[in-house]
Amino acid sequence: MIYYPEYLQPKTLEELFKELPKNKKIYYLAGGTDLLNYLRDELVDKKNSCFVDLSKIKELVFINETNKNIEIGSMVSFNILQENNLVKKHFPAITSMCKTFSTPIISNRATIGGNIANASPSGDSLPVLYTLNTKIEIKNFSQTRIEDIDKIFVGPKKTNFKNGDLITKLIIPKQVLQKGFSIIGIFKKVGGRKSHIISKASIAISAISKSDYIKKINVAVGAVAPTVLKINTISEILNNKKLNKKLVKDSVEEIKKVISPIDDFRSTANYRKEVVSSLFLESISELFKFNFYD
Amino acid sequence: MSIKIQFKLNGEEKNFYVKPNMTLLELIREKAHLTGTKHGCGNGECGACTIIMNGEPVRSCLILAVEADGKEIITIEGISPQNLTELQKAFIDEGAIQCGFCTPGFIMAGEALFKKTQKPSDDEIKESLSGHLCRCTGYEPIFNAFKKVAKK
Repeated sequence: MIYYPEYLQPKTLEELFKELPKNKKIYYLAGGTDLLNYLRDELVDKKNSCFVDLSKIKELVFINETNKNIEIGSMVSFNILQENNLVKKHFPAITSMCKTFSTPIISNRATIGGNIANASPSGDSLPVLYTLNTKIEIKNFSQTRIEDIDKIFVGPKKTNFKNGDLITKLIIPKQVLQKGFSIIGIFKKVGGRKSHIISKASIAISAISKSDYIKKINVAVGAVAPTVLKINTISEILNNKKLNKKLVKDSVEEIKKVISPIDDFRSTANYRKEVVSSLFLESISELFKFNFYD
Repeated sequence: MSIKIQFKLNGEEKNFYVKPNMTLLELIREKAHLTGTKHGCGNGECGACTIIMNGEPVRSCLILAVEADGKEIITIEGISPQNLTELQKAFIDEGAIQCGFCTPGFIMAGEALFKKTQKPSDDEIKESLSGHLCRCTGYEPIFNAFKKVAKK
């Protein structure tokens, strides 16, 4: 590491926006599991940057239940998320994702807000948050705005954030369940090995169902397009239906239609196209305890 | 620009002046002169730099030294300064060390695991090993050493 960025370590959000320089490129340091690599590889603005360490801001670490939502602070780490009972109860897809997210040691540091701000199309939390219609609260000086998660990404590693924008919390709507129905969810990914790996392709499903009857389903895929994609046409096919092989087959066709995977150092477009379909079949089979493969 | 930080290192309060781009790993090795913590890949992949910060195992190469301010940090030297721990003994008995470079990381992950649960399942052991690379042993003897402690 060859240069010395300006460094702030505020204790509250108020202090943060009081001290934040207006004429420097702001890098928020959350868990550091991505940013320290960018620092080491000299991918950050060298001349005019300011690092803002969020680790002392306690008001960003919380998981609360409100009337309609569960709210999650942006500095909540993946291991806290994985163990949280509110999350387990309301959003099984999040818990499922945390189990395959990197390794326990990285999960101790990596934060949900950091995973969003990094904006990688292969960020594991993103497809899951898409299926849950997550909203993101963003603060910048005295302004606060709330955006849908699928509106903030404009390309690989690119958000619509302005300099200084800070994700403060996630707002995830709770589902109202009729009698007999339950909320189910799953996340699956494929990488070079099982643990500690960046996805070549990933899928998240959240649904409200009663045995094989689907009331509502959301499917999102990661690492197979410039941003994570929520595939609304699958919801149209499967909502309010009894699941059968024909419907599942139609859903797979929809996935193939909307994705635009690329060849890169991690994998090839063809492989991604095939494997994401298999991930869908595997996930739906596991969720509904029926083999939809053949 | 240097920043003054204070934290507990292996039970002792320490002060350092650090540049904001120094990693905690560099501080531990080059300023505190505790070289048991290893610098492997430098990007969080290999696990050789694992330390325990506020009770949780973390990668010291992915943490800035300035972030350590106010924290409690234990390195391999502070695990058991006088005697070997059960896990360290089991590593010797099972031949879980060859070149030894990865060993401090495995021990730190193990100590954190056994602090949380005294009798971890096979899956829990494997999960705790999952962030650590060893190019010599093929992992089997390391797993066996963990098993040996878990049985006790």
